[in-house]
Amino acid sequence: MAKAESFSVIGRPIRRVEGYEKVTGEAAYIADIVLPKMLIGRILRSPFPHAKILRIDTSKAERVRGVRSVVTAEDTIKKPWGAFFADQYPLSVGKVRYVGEEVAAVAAVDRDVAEEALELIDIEWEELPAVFDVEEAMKEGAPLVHEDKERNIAMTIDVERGNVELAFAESDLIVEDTFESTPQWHCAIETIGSVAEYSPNGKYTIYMNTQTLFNARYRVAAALGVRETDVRIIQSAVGGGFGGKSCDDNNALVAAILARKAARPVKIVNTREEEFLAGSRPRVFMKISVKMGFKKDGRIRAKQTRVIADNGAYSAKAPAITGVASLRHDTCYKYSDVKTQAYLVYTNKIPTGAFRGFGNPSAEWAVEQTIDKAAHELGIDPLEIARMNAAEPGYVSPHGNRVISCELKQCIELAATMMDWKNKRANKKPNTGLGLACTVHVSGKRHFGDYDGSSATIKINEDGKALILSGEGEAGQGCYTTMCAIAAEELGIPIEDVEISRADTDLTTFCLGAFASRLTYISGNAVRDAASNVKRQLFEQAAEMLEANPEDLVSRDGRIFVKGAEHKALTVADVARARLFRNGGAPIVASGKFDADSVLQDSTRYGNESGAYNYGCQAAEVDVDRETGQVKILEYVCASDCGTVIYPIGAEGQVEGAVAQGIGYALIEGLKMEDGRPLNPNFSDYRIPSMRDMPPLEHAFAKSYEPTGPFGAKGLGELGMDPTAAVIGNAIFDAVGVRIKTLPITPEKVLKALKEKQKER
Amino acid sequence: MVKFDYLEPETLEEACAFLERDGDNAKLIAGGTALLIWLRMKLLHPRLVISLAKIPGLDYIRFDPNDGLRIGAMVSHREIERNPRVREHYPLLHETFRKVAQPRIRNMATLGGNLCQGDPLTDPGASLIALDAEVTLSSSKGNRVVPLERFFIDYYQTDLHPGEILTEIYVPLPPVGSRWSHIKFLPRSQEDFATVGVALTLRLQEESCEDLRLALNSVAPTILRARRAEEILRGNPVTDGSIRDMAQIASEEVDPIDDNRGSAEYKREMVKVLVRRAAQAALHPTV
Repeated sequence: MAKAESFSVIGRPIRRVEGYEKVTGEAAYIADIVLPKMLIGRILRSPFPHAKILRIDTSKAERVRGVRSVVTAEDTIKKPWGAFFADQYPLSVGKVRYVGEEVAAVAAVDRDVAEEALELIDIEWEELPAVFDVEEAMKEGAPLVHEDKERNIAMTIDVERGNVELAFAESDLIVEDTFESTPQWHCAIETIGSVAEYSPNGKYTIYMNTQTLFNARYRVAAALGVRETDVRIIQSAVGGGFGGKSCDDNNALVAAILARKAARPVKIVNTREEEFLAGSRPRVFMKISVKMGFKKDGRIRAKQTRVIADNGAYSAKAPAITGVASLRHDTCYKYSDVKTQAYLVYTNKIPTGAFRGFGNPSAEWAVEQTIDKAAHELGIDPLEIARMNAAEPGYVSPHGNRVISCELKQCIELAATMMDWKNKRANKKPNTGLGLACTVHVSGKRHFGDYDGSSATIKINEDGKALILSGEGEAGQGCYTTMCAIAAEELGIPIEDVEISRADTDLTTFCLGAFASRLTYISGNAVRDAASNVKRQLFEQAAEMLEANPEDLVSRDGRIFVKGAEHKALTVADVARARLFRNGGAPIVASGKFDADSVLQDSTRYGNESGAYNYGCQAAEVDVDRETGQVKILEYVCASDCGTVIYPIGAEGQVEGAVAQGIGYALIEGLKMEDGRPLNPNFSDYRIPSMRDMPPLEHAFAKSYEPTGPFGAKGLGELGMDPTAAVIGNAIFDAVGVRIKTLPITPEKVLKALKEKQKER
Repeated sequence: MVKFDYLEPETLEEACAFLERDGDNAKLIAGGTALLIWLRMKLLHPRLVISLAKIPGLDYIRFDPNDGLRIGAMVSHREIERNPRVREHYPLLHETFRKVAQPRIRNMATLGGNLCQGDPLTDPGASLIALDAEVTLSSSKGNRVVPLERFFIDYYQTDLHPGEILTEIYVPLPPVGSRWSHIKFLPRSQEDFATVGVALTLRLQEESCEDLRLALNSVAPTILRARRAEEILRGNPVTDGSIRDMAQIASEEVDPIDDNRGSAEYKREMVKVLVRRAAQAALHPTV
């Protein structure tokens, strides 16, 4: 570990840069955006999980007073689009594949009129047999969601490294089991929405609450059949993303199609029910069979998994997510013999997709419980197994992930100390138990066009304040504050003197956006590079004014001076003005860039996903009520290795929020479906943890420094929810000796397992 | 959105008249915490919504040591929760209202609105039944007093006649030596509806149970009083065995459904566990 630098902004109790506008309610979310002559769009959605559209008659709807446009697939180019596989349309072409799919839409002067018109759209359907279960879908003769996809298989993975057969033969203990995860919704406080307008010049301008602007632009252009520059995406304030606002849904596309036809701006904001039906793409359901071989002392010798993942009706990010679930966790512990087979399967349900964790929570739910099983069977403390197998700096995973900084072992120690693990384990009380699990996550992921970079521009205004122009966007997670802190630190100015622009694809350079815990590391590096380039210009000018060499200058608190001669300092404003207001003057402005030193996975999925890997260990103490099956988390601890902590309050918020979502995933959440129809698409019935459901939570950040990160920083945002379900599952086993294998862990399941266990005796 | 006319009458008589005139097409609104959800979900399509907000004299909490507690229908859950007299003389009510939803809802939701909704998932009804509460139903024909126990008729159905407005909730003085307990079983989230709710009042004479009331919510089409279960204990010695028998009968008396909070079978079993625990808690209060 490199020595931590001493910072003047980074790691200090800095305030959120857009905090005031949010706490005063002034931040403009999609609902707040109103354009002149704007119409309201509403979408007609499929009531069937699988049906042919024989005929659509929109004539009655078009005649409703106040209706300005009615659109169907006939108003589109009918070319499929998608993040990895092009298989979905903005409006259904020929058939629908899930309940909630967009079939037609209306733009009208208000919502009432639009909804009245929707009811007048006449559709003749032919219902088709549908398939909902992944294993049913893979059988010969199952209904085909997409006719050209045999056995509904969208993608397979078949990877072996080393010699798994031999490694199992050399194992002293082999543990096998199968675990099922659950789809989980993001439940962001703001639903997906957009306001689209179309100019006669042929350009679409779309206000979106997206977390990935340029990906949105690319997909809108592809789906509408125009060039990227014909689409301008402007980010509104975003009320939470968590992966759900990464533009795999059709909201903005439908708004754009309506806007063009109506020649008026159109706003569409999903209702909460629409958000559950066809909005944010829920976490991919997976059934994961794990087989692991261990040496007597607890060392992991071999790992084999079989993953069946539910793609839903169309492919959003599930292909990449299935890859992560199959391979990523092999970067957490040291072993070389692994084999994984995965199937991504179409079903007649909402497409699944990106959600904080991106395949990791499902995989860790299975693998970390398998390791825990082995620990109990070998009679070794699970803490020891984690410790002895933990990845270390310099580790190269069997799939090529190259680990630079890694403080997993420190995280394990921190978690053990916070939990008082040894002591509690030695003094175990009846019906209480301890569980832990470890995780690894990336800081950016190289998969879009072999680029995992970022860029930013910084200009110094004549008053000495810096403005960052960035297209990465802020989805509520606090990355703006992180970027401003990094710029302030590099420039030697107070963070109050740094501003950041709204993200707008016309005004900023290309940025991939918020996913894969990438912004602190990737865009942080780009911002730092831009700041360093700007600083060079400042120092050149200041050197001239101070009659010194630029190399001898330092900047601190907004003042530039020759080292050791602080009394003769210039302000940044003095320097910026002097550079601009003179014959031949110029503003101070520079761009910066960064692309991670990672390697795109090849056809065998060998590569190096990310420039840096973040690690964590979590532990829980639970109490299980044997009569009700209720699980109470008595204490939860979470240790994270995210390198240098740039923005402490933001980092804490990420950890706490992630653990809360992890607890929801573990114990509460899940959509009930009957014949492809969601039964609880609302917050009365789909519960997420509230503040009062949070257990006492203690967390710590490992002392860590990532040499390739900005000031030593790595990613953090997803790490906190990756292992949570497994942690709780393991703690339940320790408490009462039952292993729950499907999520969520309801009290009913626990009670049933307890009874079965009693019967066995 | 649902379109409707909205009226704010200033007297009870006026409100009753509107209600009588428009019958099923009219809905009353008090705190709105239930009605607005139903409107948004398009489960109701009233042509007229009549607010009770401007009618004076429906928002009192009066305690008289010789009479008992009288609560106006428009009193919010939060006011009942925070009322010192309620807390002192009706700790079961304080405990129950404290657990309803969360403060934002409790500040808006009224007791009258809650009872008239007839939602079997909500908490106040069970505790009020356990305290022998009565409700006053007013209309142009005058007032009618109904024991709360008989007010709940079916799933979201009450004994309110057309044109009637619930105006007052009366809770008699708990008998001297009355014990109580309340369990809101919330395995999913603290802000959920109860998977099972149990309210119990009980009086002992020596080792025997002189009298008791056992009411349950979330486990039948209505909030219900488990009379058959009560009979096991009433007048009999209170033992672990008799408590278990009572809990067993209660679990047979309920009629739960499968939903997001658990299967019918699970809820029935939880009634057995939680009624037993409620009885033990009433006998051995920890506070």
